[in-house]
Amino acid sequence: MKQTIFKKGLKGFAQKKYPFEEVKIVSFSYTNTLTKEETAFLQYQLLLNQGVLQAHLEYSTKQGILVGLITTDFSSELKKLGLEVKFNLVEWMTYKEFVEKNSR
Amino acid sequence: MAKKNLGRISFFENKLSEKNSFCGSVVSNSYGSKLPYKTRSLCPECTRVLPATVYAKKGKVFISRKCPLHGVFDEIYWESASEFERARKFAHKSRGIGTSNVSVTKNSGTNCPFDCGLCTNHQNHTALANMVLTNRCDLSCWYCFFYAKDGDPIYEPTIEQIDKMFLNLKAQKPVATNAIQFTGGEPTLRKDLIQIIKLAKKRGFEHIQLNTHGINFALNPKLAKDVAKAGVSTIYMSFDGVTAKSNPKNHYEIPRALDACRAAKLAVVLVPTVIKGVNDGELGEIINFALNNFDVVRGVNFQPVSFVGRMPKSLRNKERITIPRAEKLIEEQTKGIIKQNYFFTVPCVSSVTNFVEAITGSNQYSLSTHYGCGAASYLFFDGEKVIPLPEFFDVVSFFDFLNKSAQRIKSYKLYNFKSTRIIESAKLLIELTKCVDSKKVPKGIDLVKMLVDVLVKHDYSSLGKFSDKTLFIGMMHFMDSYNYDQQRVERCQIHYAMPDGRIIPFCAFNVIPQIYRDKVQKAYALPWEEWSKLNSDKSPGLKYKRNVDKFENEEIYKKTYLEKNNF
Repeated sequence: MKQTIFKKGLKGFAQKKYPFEEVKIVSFSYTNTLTKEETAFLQYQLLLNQGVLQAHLEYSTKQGILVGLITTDFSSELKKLGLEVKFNLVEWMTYKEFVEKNSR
Repeated sequence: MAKKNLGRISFFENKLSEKNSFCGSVVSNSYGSKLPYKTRSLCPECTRVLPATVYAKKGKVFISRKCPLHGVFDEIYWESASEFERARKFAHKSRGIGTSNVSVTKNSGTNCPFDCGLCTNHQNHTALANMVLTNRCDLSCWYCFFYAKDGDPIYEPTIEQIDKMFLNLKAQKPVATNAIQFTGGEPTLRKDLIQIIKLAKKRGFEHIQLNTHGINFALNPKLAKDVAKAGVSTIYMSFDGVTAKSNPKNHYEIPRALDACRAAKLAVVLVPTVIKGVNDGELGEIINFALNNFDVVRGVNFQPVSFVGRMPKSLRNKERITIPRAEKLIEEQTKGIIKQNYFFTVPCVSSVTNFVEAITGSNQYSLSTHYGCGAASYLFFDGEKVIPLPEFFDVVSFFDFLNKSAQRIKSYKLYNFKSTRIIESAKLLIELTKCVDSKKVPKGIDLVKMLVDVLVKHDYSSLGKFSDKTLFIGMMHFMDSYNYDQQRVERCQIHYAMPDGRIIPFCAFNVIPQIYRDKVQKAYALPWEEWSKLNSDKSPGLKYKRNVDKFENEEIYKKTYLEKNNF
């Protein structure tokens, strides 16, 4: 569990800049035939999970990308939504890097 | 009625599927089209994105869509189709943004509004950045949705996180963010507020607003001086009506709060949330109140109510009010002095940007938001008489001239050729004299000189004098899930900076809080108990207790709620 910031006690808390230490980025393709509305709705449902920080499903290419806490079981999250997926790439980066990448 | 709506929906659904074009581009391409136009909206029940139609019926504008699970939602959008058409004529092509804040997912907004942001499909840069400094509040207003209840986690970004957000906003292209509003909760509850304001100033934000109920200024006037000294220029103050009943939040503290701002030389913009049947009968009185405190109040920005969460249609119909209705009520309640057609949609000022960009050849700060989002007008006031700007200035002809002039300069492709600019500047002077009705112009106002100074010489010194004699009257209607129009959110220019590096349009942040506002704040928040231990001097749930008698009997109270009618 990398979401340790709340577990470390109070000392020095105010100096902590990031709530998480590391994130996992998963790229995948899916085989389901989905309309654009269904694709958007599935993305929304993925985002409702507190462990998924960012998500994007691309209707035209049937590719997806999820960014989340390393403890999140993406495979079962996607399965719950009925998506048949093939994982292409799993990467890790620090949460700090993730914020840096967003901050452009 | 339901049958009729279904028919309408299916017609447009068919049209959409014929073109197989249910994507962001349909939404963008239909921007500025005559009614009916196609867009996308949300199901208020399940938040599914749905094809939608904005159309006119019986002189009003509606937005309609059909959810496969929850049926048809047909909601009032603007209460006047003719006013919507007048606003539409000012629709302005946006130039997009040169940066993306979703680099990891590399998305281009095809699943808008779940792809924020900002993604590369977003149409406009940030005109005003909002930054939540805390979710604590010392009031607990029944209608407010955004403060930590007892036991809720406390979100208060650290100075380091705040600085990161500042830098992120400043990195925006093509135009760096220049205006920021600190909001909450109640931002004055933060002990390090002054430090935050100073940091914003240091990072180059020229316009800093503080969104507050003002009570802490009333109790501690030194705080107003301190925030002014640190760099705040404008106080965005809640003010829902002129009576204690219509404005339970801060009615009794407003006189002292305004006085504190007066002493601190802070400009105040009053911000009434307008709810039909609650305070829509007081719009004229609110403007009158602003005029009676004209030395400190620089504007009134009415915000027609937007509904949070699910709400039955009967209740929505009871309380819903839209921009044209609020404008009409202002006309009625000011005895016809502030006419409805004196209000102009926000993107009308894009003509000014077009002209200045053509003259200077460089990207300028632009207000090219959706024409359905807001409207504004200006009033001149000499202490006796109210004269709305459009009464003596032909706004439409002037903007039309600026657009045409900008086109001429650009078509010559002579950005650096001095003579082109000189010729167009001379034409501007001639046009301006035609647009100003010299018989009606208020004494002491040289509007022509001021506009030439600003537009040609880029000298803003005379703008201060102009602003000292005018009162801004604005309207900003934020959306809810019932009247959600993706076309508007794509063009949004009021954005929230988040500590995870993203910048989220206002109506994505607040309408879909479960994936933006609440989710990120939860991740960055401290549990209630831990916050309490860290801040042992106070409890996060500490609430303000009012002493009505004390305030009501003060001289400043009587002076502020002066019974002088300016209309």
